[in-house]
Amino acid sequence: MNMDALVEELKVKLIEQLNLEDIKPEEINPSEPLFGDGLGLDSIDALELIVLLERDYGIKISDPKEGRKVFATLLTMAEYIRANSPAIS
Amino acid sequence: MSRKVVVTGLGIISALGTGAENNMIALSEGHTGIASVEHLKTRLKDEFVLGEVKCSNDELKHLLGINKQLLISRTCLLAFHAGREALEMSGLKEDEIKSCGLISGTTVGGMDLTEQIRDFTTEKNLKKILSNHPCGDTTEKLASFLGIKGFTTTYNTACSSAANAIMFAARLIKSGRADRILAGGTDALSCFTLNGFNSLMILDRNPCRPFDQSRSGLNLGEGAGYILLEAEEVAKPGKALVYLSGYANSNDAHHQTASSPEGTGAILSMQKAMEVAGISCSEVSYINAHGTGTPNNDASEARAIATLFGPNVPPYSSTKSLTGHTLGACGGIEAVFSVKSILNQEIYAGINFTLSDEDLDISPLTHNRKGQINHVLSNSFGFGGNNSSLIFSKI
Amino acid sequence: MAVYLKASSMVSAQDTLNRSDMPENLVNAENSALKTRPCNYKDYLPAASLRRMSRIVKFSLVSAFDCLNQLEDFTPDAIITSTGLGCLEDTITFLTQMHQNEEKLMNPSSFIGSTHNSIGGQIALLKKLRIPNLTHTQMEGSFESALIDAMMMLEDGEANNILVGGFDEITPETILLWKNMGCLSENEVNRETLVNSTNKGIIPGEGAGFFALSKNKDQSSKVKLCGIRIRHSYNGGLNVAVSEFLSEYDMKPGDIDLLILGVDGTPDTHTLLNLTNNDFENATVAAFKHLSGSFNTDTTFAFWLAGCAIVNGKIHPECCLKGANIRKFKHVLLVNSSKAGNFTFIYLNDDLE
Repeated sequence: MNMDALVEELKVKLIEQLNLEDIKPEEINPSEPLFGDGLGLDSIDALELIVLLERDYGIKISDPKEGRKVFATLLTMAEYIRANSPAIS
Repeated sequence: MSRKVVVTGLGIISALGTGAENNMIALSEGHTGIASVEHLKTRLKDEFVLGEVKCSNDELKHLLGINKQLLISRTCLLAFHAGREALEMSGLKEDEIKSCGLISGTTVGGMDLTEQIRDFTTEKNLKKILSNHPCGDTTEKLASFLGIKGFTTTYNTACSSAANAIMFAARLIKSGRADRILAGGTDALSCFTLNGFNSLMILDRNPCRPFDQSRSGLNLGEGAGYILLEAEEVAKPGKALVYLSGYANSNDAHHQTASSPEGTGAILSMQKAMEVAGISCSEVSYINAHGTGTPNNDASEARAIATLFGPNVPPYSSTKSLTGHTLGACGGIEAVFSVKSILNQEIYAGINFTLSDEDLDISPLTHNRKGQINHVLSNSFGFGGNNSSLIFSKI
Repeated sequence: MAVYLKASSMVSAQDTLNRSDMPENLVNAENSALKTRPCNYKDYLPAASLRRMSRIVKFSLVSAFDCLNQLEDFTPDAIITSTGLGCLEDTITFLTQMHQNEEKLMNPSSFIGSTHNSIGGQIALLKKLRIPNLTHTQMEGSFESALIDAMMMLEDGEANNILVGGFDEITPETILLWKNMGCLSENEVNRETLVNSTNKGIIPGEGAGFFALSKNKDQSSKVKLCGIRIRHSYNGGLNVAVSEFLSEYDMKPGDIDLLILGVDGTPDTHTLLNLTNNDFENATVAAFKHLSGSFNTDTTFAFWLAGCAIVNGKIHPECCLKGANIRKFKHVLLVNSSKAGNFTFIYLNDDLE
């Protein structure tokens, strides 16, 4: 899967997993911060994303602090998945 | 009316043992109750250590003289042990027990039974099992087991439940609405809570290390702790152990599960409890901290203690390093420890602490210590920003 | 000392939100359950906060905020909530996932939402209220237990204003459970069947009621809350217990203008009808569980109804079992019972002098 397709896939999954009902995929800027000022996600969302990463991409993150770095933006998340996922190569 | 409230009975069951005596031996010798999973039927058995009460349900029933066939939650069985011990110690007569009230805290109620139902459509015992589910049912069963017929109610404010139950009881007695109330809390381990805390990624796979720089989460535990509270004027001569002099509950209003970095809610509850007790920071002899061992709680609580007490930080420690975090019961269990600290004039250190956080210039007690113990402050903090503090004072 | 009811809000199966009387058109039970009417959450709650909230959290917060919005200068000193079974949808979601995933890959949100005090905590969080925040859970006595706590705080000078509430929810799974356990009503529950007490089951319901209580009286004070009592398995007869309770306020059953009973159409609650035999000869007798459905905190609905009756001088004819439905209601008594045989009494009046 190429990077663009993965980013698009992640947008949809993000919206579904985190119940971001009012946000459309095209409104998410892949290089904008997901937490704080950007999309406004919080620490509970980070935990939800850790579950998503393991369930859908087979990547296990065991330290929540590491999660925050991986989930800085949608792009960093996609890069991390491409580098680590046995499911995506 | 404003009456003084005294503690006249103690009852406890925890990973450290059955009964106050066994618990105190473990506490003073630093024996931990945290161990591999033996009783809880969970797929996470090999992944975590727990503070289990070291008895099966059948063994608990046997000790209580209850029929093995009786369908009853482990939460109830634990409560029965601790409740019975507290009443026995108080020496109340049958009619006094009858008019006594009961305020109990629990977060799981009969979840240990409910979670075993795999298929709600085919389960034959559905009605019987589910009738045990409500938290309030646990309290009603405890009242009926002990013969209590006074005002009975239950708090579920997550991990501060038992502390809030004790606070409510104290208010009822202080204002003259009740003379005697058994108060505390009970929670059995369940897959529900184990998986819940695991999903929050705040469980440590190894024995927890409250306040230590290397801490990485809590160990769940189980148990029950109840204390009998009486108005000083109705307590039998020689029975009053300590005063319950202060109490408070406040809210951190910061996050659904996490505590604020500066410990705003914790400062408020400790401050208010001291106000109610009429004592100042320098008079607190020891703090039995909430100290779960999660990076967030301990940083927030230690910060709150440092801020509030300034140059007068009293010795503090977390006994959860030995018992595990018993959720709705911890306020009751730690109330028993706090009372014992005053009675024995000794404070207990907990284990597994080496080094404080870098940005913190206070550190917890590392060895048990004898000394003049006049006022003990006990903290219990829960999800929903729920912070409670109790103060016990020497008579 | 008196406690005054300054504002109330009820989210229920009926169109009770945002109004201070019962609507003309009433809803009947569909598929033997009474679910809360849908409401526009975004009118009451920050849109961004909604996404992780289950239905009970949302409709309870709507009720809490609607109650607070009615008053201009009401700063609560405590928040006291109550629930019999807590947040069932999230509890069931987490349990189901736990079994299906064999304790792996668990989503934290439903666990966080499953705690009984998550609604109280959310009120504090969204309104930044760093005040005492307590949650009672004592089955059918949960709301009364919270009211007792609130009255104590007001009477003892620990608070001037308190927000107190109660809530419970039904989910498709719980309705099915009721059915499998044979606890659902096989017949329609209406005024007649409530009195006949021949139904084998009940209509499960849900709802959230929040109330602003104050020890200070002003223009917004509508009703005086005089007393609450929970009698545990009383064996001297219900009529005696009620008389004893009323006598604490120098009242007799004959002084009561409106008696609201928690009858649900089953033999379990039939005892309550004994009260109507002769003691309460001057009272209009009303019921509510056919309109609210039965749930552990359904007396929030009755409490809301009692307040409306005192203010409006009328009750909906569908609530009325006996007596005139339009008249002055000065003294109102609410009596409910639990499956375990406990009784709860709440006495309110219009004495704002």
